[in-house]
Amino acid sequence: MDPTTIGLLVIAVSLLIWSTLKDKKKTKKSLNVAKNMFRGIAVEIISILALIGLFLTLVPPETIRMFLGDTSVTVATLISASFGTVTLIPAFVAFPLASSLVDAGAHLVSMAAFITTLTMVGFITAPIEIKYFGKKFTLVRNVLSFLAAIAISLGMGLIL
Amino acid sequence: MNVKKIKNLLRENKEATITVFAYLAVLIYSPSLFLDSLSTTSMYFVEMLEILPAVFVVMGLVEVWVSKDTIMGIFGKGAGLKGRFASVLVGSFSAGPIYAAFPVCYTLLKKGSTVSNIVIILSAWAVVKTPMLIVEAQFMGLSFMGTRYIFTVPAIILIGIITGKVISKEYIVKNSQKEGLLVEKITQELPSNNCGACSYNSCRETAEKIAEGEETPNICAPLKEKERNNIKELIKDSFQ
Repeated sequence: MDPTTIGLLVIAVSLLIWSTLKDKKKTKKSLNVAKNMFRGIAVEIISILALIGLFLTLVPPETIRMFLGDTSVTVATLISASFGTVTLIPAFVAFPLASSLVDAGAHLVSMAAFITTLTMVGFITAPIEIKYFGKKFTLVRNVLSFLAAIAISLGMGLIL
Repeated sequence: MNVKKIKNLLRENKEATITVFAYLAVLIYSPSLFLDSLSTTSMYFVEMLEILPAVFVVMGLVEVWVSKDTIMGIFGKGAGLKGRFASVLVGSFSAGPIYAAFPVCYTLLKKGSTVSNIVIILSAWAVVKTPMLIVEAQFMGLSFMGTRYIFTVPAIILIGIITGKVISKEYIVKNSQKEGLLVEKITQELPSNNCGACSYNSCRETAEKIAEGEETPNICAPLKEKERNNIKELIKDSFQ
């Protein structure tokens, strides 16, 4: 468990204790809210995580290495960004991978696009996002994030 | 069980259905790939179980204890630039993948945050959260991390502002399927004889159209005045 996760747990537990000491009824109510939130989304999240697991087994992230060989930076950036768009990988997997890709000759620009789309643009998590915020919101946010990821990586290319 | 019930069940759990079928297909094709997928998935499960219960407990407490005015003051219309920075900050000190941010942002929106600020929180949560930056500096180097940060923060504020201009809060109100499933509640108010007078095949379909805001309750001719008002209340209540 990383430190922020532990921090989050500590915060959750201490707030819960504080709340219980102050008002038992309100605490019960908030736990109910939490339970409903979880119930409302658990099936979708579990299904989608299982789908991600399947996808990453069939198409391991290392496959982008194949595309990074003799293509131009622009094409490599678009490919990396697209790969990042479809899937969702935790940072502790994504960064070691990106770093090994750079060692293997990948350009930093395409790795920046990869990482930004990986975490911010979520094709596979879109069904969950739609349930909360609707289709149009999900579409607008993801398209803008994809464009921003490209812009950010190009901007970084100018500096690095 | 009748066919219709099963069909509805499958439709309501679309993602689960797709996943189960995909796994079955892989199992038939290659049992070893199936097992590999399960072990990859279990890694994601562990991450989810470490994070989501805590996030939901905190949000439940926020929902009950924190007043609408407080949230509005921090993330609402009047918060201005301070609201933007507060949003980046909240996202930065988060834990967990982006799907954990959806319920958080939904609660904040309900409590009075603007659409643009929740988009900023979502994006910051995704790309510049502190644990991620630390791992990034380790593997990609400090200058890579720093440069990406400097470009990303203005970009996500911009994404937030544009999304806030294009998407109104009312749109999210009408389209969110959270909040005790609006469609379900509207379906219960409709006559449920699937008469078809509204030109849709079933009352459920009509309920979906009404919940999405494409139709008004007036489209249902046999609907009595009391139920019509109930539905209008439901739509209004689904967001304060």
